[in-house]
Amino acid sequence: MSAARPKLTVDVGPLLDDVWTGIPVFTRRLIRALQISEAVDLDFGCDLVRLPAAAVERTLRQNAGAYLHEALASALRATPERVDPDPPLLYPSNKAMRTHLRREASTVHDLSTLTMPENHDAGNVAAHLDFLEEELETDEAVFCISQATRAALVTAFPSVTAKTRLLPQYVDWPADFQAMERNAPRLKLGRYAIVVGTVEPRKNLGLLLRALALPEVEKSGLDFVVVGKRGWLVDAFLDSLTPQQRQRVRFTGFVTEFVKYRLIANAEFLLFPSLYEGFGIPSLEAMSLGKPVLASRSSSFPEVVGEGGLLFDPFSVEDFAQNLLEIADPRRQRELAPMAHAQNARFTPARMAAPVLAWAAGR
Amino acid sequence: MPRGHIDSLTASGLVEGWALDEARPLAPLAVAVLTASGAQIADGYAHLWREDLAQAGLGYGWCAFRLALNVPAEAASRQSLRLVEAGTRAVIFEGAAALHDDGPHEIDDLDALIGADPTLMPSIELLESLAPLLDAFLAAQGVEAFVGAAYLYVLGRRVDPSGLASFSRLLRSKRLTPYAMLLALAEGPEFAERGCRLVPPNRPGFPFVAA
Amino acid sequence: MTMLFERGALISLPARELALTTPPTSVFPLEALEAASLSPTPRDALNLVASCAPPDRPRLIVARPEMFTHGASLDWLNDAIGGVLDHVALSDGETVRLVPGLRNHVYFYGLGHSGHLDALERLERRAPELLTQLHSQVNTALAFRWKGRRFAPLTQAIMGDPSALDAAPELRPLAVDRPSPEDGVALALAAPPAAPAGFERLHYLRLSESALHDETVARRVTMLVADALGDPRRIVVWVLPVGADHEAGRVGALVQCLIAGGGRLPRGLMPNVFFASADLAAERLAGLAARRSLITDDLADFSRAAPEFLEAFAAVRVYARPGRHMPAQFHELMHMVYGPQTEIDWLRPGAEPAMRP
Repeated sequence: MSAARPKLTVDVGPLLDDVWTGIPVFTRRLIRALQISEAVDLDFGCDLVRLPAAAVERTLRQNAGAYLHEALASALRATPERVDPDPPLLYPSNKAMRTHLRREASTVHDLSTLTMPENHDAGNVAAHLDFLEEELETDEAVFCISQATRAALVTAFPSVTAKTRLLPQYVDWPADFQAMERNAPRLKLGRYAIVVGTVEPRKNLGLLLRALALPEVEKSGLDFVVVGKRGWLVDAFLDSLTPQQRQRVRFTGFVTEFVKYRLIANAEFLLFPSLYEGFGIPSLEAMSLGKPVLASRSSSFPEVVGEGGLLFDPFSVEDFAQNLLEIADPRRQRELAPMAHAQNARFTPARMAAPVLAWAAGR
Repeated sequence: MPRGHIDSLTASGLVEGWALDEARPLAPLAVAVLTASGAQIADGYAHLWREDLAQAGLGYGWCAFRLALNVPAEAASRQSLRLVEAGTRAVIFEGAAALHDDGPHEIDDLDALIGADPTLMPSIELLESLAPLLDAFLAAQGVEAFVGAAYLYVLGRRVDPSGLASFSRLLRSKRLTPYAMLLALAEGPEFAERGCRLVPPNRPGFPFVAA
Repeated sequence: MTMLFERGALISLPARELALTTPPTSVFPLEALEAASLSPTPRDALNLVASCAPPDRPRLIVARPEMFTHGASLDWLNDAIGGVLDHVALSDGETVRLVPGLRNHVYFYGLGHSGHLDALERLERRAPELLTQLHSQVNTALAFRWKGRRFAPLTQAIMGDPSALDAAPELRPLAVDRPSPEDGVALALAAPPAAPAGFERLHYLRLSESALHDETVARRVTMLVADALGDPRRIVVWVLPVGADHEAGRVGALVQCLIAGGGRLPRGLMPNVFFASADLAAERLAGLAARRSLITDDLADFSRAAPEFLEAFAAVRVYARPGRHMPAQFHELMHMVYGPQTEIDWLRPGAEPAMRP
């Protein structure tokens, strides 16, 4: 007779967001990974109010929080059922409230509100940090989305070290994207690298724009397609470039996941010059499509990119240019492509589920 | 029960047609095109919108396919082809398809790429044929749920109290149909400013389909 | 003489200080910041800390220490800094960033500026364990709490080269106008410079912006000024605090302090209470009065005070926030800086110290 599966409650608060990026998508991946494992009996709640699994499932399929809001509102209008206090309770992000369940865990995504407060508004910093120490204290386990996040967390809170566990995510492109890409009109945008960067200073787009003035970058023959909004700060940079240099950078504005998929699939590599990332899922997105990554030697990049790309000093235009020339060489790309695939293959639903299952089972 | 047809082949190397499971018209069917000898020469999803299919009442129009051939179109045009359901290999249609000229099946600029995105609808009017579906959603979930879902779908935000009150009143009194409400939201300045980011009815994220 | 950072120093500054600079690499020599536009206080702090590393050892700036969390990035940093063991975080109180594996020191420069102490207290509340790992604190003896225990990183006192004193900062009379403080400020700024001399007693007020906003300090100071006002034997010289950009703001801070202190001071220019834009040289102090006492506070920057300036005072009183410092450590620091005659006033409200004759 097989042993009963351990139970686990997941707080689905992050899924209430109307538009899913970052943490809601992480939460979706986490729930799916746990479901795929078939090794745990999942229950769901939000701020200790129990939510029906059907409502959560529908929300996951819709990829937006609207339906979950309705379900939560409807649960609250009736007499709300509380989550079972006995099974462990997992928060895929920080705990929004003080809870007193016997076994709780929360998830730390990054410590940038502590280490880079200038990049956040004061309200955000307060919301994240004012209760963090108490949260960590009441956690039985503290999941960290990367080794870098864990290292930053134990640097700031060494007493929490023994409770920390890694919780790495994985890429989950919709199953139909590959076929849709294959059947879509061929993309002929010339040779380009796809770039993750926005106007936030920590995304460090300025490095690329400064580098455009270098002859080596000119020599690479590459254009750069930046996924995301342009914004006025970027315009200021662009104004300082020559028309020829300016032509080499294109901004997509908002694009859907499928357009992003197409742009990655047809790019030569991904450029990710951010100064600091908690995990940096775009690296995996690129490597899952066999594209190597040119990224900063900082925080989580070394562990996520691994051998699937090249790393550079995100402040050094020269170091960037040198690495750019190397990765722009098609021969180097052919060498790196299988390593990119292999590196991505290390991040799987099973690997994401494992630490949670171990904790739920009391290991 | 799957239905479908291979309409044509194109010089740029595509096979075109339509296919759907009438029991689940908004669930894109995965299909493959085989030669008479059983070799697969194309595969993908029948998920694109065509006006003639909407007018014919086939899957609300969202069941066309355009698949890239892995053999020269000329060769494919000289034989009978089989359209099958990709999973079961059940034959949906068998017959030859004529070859016609078309332009290159290519995109060479970013705007065109974004414009050709099959995961976005170019216009809300493509939902006109779905009016019965919208009515059914309203009947099953209630007026306020419909208004809330409409705001999130068209404008990407939660409905404000005054919008909820006024549209609920209009819908309850039947002075507005559900489809007309979506049109009204799409005609406003907020929609124009945000840009059209409408999810097609056969993709996840379309809120008006029953679970 | 053993220098504090024998093997060299890796120094970080608050990110907003480097916002207008383009670092050439993530770790670069201090000299690359020579032409950078840094605010004066962090610039001064940077030079002070750098002076504690031998000139033939690396003095490096790390633009973003938070990048180097572990693994390959940290290995690269260790290669780049070539044997440097000490990281000094120049902090404005908003955060303290540590580099794993190095001895981490903090210099809370500019703690006397308004808001910096508040920021530090928020940081202490949010991440107290961060501060438990500091090897030392420069020029402070702050005490922190974690899990009910008080702790204080070792204090390193660093005195730098005396700042190039404004050769002869002008003395102008202060004016307080309770209903319209700005009028008092304008009156004071418009007054012709004075040349007071030959008093019996000088009370030299050298207070930080933060101290001026403290209620208890305000009452103490107002009492002192009210007591000395009009006494022909006494003169009060009040140095404007560093902080506000413009002189009117700095004078305004003095005026607001006096208003908050509740003293009923007459309107108009005060005959024997003056403000100066910078510290006076020792010789000038000697010319003002035979007996001189310095009144300062726990957050006022002393790092650039010349020895002869400090030695010019027979009595020193330091206003100190109770509970903010480790008492014995703070005493030691104050005595080391200001001399054995230093008295600490722990600012317990109501416990007004007796005025010295």
